[in-house]
Amino acid sequence: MSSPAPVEPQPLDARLSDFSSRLSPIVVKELRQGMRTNLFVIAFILLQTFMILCMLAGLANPGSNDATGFFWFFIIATMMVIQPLRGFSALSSEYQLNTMDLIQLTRLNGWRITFGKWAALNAQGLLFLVGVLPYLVIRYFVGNVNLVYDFSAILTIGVASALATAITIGVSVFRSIVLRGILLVVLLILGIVAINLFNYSVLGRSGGITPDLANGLLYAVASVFGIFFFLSFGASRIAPLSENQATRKRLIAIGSALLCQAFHLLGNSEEAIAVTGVILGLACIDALTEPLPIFSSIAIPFRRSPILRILGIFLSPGWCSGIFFFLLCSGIWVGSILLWDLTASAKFFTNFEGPVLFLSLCNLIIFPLLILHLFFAKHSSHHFTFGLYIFTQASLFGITLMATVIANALGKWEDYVYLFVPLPSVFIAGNAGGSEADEAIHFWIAVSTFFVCVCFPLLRQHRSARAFFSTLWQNSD
Amino acid sequence: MSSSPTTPPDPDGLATVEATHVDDSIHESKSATPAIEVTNLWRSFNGLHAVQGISFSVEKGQVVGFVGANGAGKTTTMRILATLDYPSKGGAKISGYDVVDYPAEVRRRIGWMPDHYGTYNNMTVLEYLDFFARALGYKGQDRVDRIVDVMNFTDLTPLADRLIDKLSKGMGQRLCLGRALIHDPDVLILDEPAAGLDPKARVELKHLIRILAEEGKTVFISSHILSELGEMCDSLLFINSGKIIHHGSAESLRKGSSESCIVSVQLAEEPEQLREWAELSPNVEFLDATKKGGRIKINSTEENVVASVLRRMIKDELPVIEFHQEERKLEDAFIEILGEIEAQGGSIVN
Repeated sequence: MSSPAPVEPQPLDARLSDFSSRLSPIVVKELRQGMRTNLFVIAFILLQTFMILCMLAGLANPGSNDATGFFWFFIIATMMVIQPLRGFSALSSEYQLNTMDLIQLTRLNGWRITFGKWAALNAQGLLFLVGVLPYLVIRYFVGNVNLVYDFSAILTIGVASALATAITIGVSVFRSIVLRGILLVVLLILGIVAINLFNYSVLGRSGGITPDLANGLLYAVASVFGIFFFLSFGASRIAPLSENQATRKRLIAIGSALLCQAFHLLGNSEEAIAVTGVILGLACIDALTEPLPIFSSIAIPFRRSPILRILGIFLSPGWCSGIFFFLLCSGIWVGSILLWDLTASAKFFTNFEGPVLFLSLCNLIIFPLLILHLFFAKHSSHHFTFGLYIFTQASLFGITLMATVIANALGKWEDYVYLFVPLPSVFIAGNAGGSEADEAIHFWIAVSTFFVCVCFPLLRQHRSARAFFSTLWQNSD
Repeated sequence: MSSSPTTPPDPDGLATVEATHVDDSIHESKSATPAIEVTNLWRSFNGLHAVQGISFSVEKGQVVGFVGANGAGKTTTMRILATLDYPSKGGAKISGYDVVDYPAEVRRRIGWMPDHYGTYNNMTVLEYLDFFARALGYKGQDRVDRIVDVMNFTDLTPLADRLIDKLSKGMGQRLCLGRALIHDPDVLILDEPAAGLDPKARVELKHLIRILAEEGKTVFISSHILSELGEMCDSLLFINSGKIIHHGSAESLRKGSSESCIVSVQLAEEPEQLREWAELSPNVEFLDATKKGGRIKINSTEENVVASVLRRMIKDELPVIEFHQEERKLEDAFIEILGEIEAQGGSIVN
């Protein structure tokens, strides 16, 4: 018996042309690696198996709610849990494998790295969804299914999965698994709140059958910004300090916030203000925790004209410009609320309660910066700064929770709240329902806290602030 | 094209202090723009100075060894040169481009090989090189040609389809060198490339570096193994506690100061006799003992003085079996320079 002829390996040229040269190198790399992982293969096979089982259950008992429930459960579990979790160590693994430095020495910048990873994961997610489509069509023929509703649900799940994946990839920049875990839990809580709001404002308003299109569009804007923001968040933290990632990020945040103002005209003011607040709040947290050193290469484009220099104060990288950006965002948010006042006569700023709530929400964002520059002024690592920011916020949340429980038990909120002045989170919880005199005092406390939080870091780090301004104001030659 | 001499703000307000023992022979063939130029470079981490105002330059086509103990500041300096870290003060340029202000220009000109090579799971050798070729902007046939060239040079072609995590350390280092060479850089910055390699892999790597040097590439290489560096480097830079303590050719280091020579002596009996004899003899210092004998330093290089010392050794009835004049080891030179610095209370040798 003759042995089979050995298989000639393909020439290198052929083996290197499996992906077009036009595709992003990171996408090619991630697809090659990702499709070989056990997690992808097992998840794909399991999803197909469960889909078949759900189909058989549906055929045996047409119109069964259980079969429908399981059908969507498996899709949501795959797209909203497994798929995003694959991005949980996307960037940190590059550090663990000592490959981040090597990638940074290529032509790939921070944004192309994170975007490529996100695109590759979503391409694999798309494979999951495409694999589900035949079952969707079969369900339609079995009966009792609104195909348009199902397709829009698949689309919504796809967008939500893309956002969730962007979040995990953005968060994966931190090497500490504890920090990543805390961030994900915080974002999960916020996500659940957002889903409830989505259900209420998009589906609930119209009885859950015809979605509120305006709010749907608003959430689409927020989702697109969210994807961009979290990918940029990761990108700016892996990028070298000489790479300016901040300007585009801040400009897009302002642009998205301004875009949201159009929804005032459609009668969705409350949602527009909330989404504007979330967009600007995220952008401010990011800006306030950026490291400061600003290099000449970054400052050069801002030195071209006086207007650009002034823009540089708000848009150049670093926490110093982040404070001015925060002031600008606060102004935009005030504008949004005033627009609400104009279009719906909301009278938000006519008594003390509204301004105190507004200022305390702003203070909530910037207050950790005060702690950072008060106690940890010498620590310049952006991972440390952001970690500490989150830790401070988590501590404030804990204190607020404790204060609320004790105050409720004692039944003396008004007296008790002064013990924690000027913690903004306690103030938000304790402000409502006080007398007019209390509200006036609260207002002045909130104003003072605002000014202290803005001015203290700049005064404490006056050398760095001066260096920032002088770098921006130097002559370009 | 030239770079602006801008430097980032100095967060620590560090002062400018530096003086280095520089061997004149390294400046013999100075060209207009050095391949590497470091000027008063400082790097501090939360108040700890890892690099303290070092200055040196490397001419194009030179192979320069960077020597120092762990924590001396080698990797920090090399990372700054590779645009992966930033100076706290001072600056560095590669082919005239400032590493802070023109990182993209610098990256185009350098090939960086870190001490711990980074590789991926679920990826073959070919895919790994393909990824970096794509990431460096190579497209179509150019990309294929570059990969084939590099694989042939590093002898990786037979391993093209092998998963990277299945490679030996030596193969991995060849792959890492191949990756650093994909874009045909002018300057190679190699941080401890031979660390952890077996002797065969070490010889192979040395051979590759030698070929690269012959092709005219500037190689800046760090290692603990001085003898190895001595064989392939045009000059050596010694760094200690973040300061350059010597910059000179390996040859001049081997010769050492022209006022002494080292003689290895083998005795028929215990080495203690040699120590006692050396302590009583003028112009002679006992350096260290071997199993049967030891090494002595004669404080002269004049042949008649050396001959008279050796004659005296026989005359004093030391049971000498064999003696020969030693070429100074680079390790000895390094230790000697360190000793001189300590003797001067930590100041720099000049």
